Order: sequence, then structure tokens, then C-alpha cells
Amino acid sequence: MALSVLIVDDSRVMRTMIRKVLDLSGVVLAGTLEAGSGVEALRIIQEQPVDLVLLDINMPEMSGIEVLNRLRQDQKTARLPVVVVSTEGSASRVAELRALGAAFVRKPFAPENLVDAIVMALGGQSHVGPRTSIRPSSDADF
Amino acid sequence: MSDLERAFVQAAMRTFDGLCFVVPDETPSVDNAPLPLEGGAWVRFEGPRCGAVGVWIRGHVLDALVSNMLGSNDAPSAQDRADGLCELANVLCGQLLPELAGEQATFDMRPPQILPDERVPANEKAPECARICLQVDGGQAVLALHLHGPKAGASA
Repeated sequence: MALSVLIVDDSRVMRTMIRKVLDLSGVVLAGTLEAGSGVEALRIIQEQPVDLVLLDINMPEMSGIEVLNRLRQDQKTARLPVVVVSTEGSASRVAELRALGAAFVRKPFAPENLVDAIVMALGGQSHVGPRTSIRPSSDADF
Repeated sequence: MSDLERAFVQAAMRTFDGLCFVVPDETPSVDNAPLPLEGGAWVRFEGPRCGAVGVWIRGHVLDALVSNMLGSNDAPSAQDRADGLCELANVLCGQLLPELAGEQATFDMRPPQILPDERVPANEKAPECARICLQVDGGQAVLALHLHGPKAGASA
């Protein structure tokens, strides 16, 4: 199954970087959507089919933790797969996220780290094909 | 170099390599020949230790760093340059925090703010405890750590 993925980060640079990593990671994509805030993310999830959310924590107005809590409180999104993509990755934070049913990957990340987290969020289901390096010094088209 | 400065350098190396695919010179330089400032960003954090991390980029290297983040050869927009600076500060802070209080400690990081010049924000109360200048791709990255409480060198 190809995935519709929503990338949530207040930084356009980081959303672009995550999308490029995702494109090259081998994850089979139906498409990517982007949200620049938690509020926008919740609106998109209500309006469009989303299979997976890649969610930043450290955002103004509504944090990723609040977005995640709201998703889990809504019956329609309580089981929506979420990967938190964040800079703050203490063991207790990761445990808190796991308790909310989210996987975690720490910025900056390699494509394989993102893929591992996505597979975990999807409950072990594989949507992954061959992957490509993202480093500009390689012959990849990043 | 103190343990804390060494940890700061290593956090910076991981940040620039992981985000921008650029590896700074590992040895901090004496900051006596500043290049023109391109911009700076500031991130406050709270937790077992409270303080802030600042990043300033000098010397016409910011476009290349942000273009690498974006995977594009085009010159980044002003908004992308600001976003890129904020992400550098954000990721550097996240890389450094475990060095201050261990992997178990949870911190709340505030959204980064852009700095108009090389001055520390006037409302910053935590004293500076580390400042390093790294050579990055022909430019300079000046990094500052401000911390409340006892000096963190012992735990770094």
C-alpha cells in the first residue's frame, strides 16, 4: 500500500528536508502533505485521508505533544500512525511518546533511521523499497 | 579546552554534518578576525538545567548551508535563511542537552528566535559558560551556551 504522509513542522526548511529524505528513503508514497502548525495539521487530518504523520514537537502555539494528545483523544484518529521527529530525545521523552503510541526519530536523522521509525509506527508493516543516499557529495539527485 | 567546550564542539560537528552535510574544523579558532555577520538564532531551554544556546553564522556561508539542507542549488529565500538558522540552533541545542544532564533528563525547548545582531538577547539572565568559534566551509560559526546554576563542566 502506498502511503499518504503528512509532514508537520513550523520550519519550511525542515519540512522540505524531511520530504526529500522521505522521497529517497524507499518508503512507497501515494503523496506528501505539509502543515506549518499543529492547528493546520489537525485541520488537514480532518479533511483528507492521511496514513502517517511525521510530527515536530517544538512548535509555537500548539506543540507536537498537544497535537498527539488531541489525535489520541479523537476516536477517528486514535490509532493514526505517528512518528515524532524532534531534536529533544531524552529517554523519558521517548517513553512518553511511546505511551501515546508514537514512534520517534531524532533530528538530524539518516534515511534509515526515519524508515525504522516509520516501520515501527506502522506496526511492522513494510512499505519500503530501495533507498538512495541524500548526501550532496554522492551521485544522488538530492 | 574544558569538557563542556569539548562536548559543545562535538554537538556542533554532529549538527552541521547531519543537517548541512558540512563538517566544521574540529579545533575552535581564536575569534579575533570576525567575518561579516549573516545572522543568528537563539533557543532557550528549561529542565534540570536552564539556559540558552546561540548560533551566529558569519562570512557568506549561510546560503550554502541552507541550500544543502534544502537539497537545492538555488539561492534560499530570506525566510528559508531564517528557518535554516533556527534549525541549526534547535538541533545544536538538542544535541547538547544530554551532555548537560544525561540521556534520562527531559528538557522543554522553546521555539528558536532570530537575532538581529551578535548581541545576546537583553532579557537573557543566564550567564555565558561557553563560547566557541568554528571554521565552517570558509565561514565562521560562533556558538554560545548560557546556563543557570552551577557550572556544568563536571557532568559534560
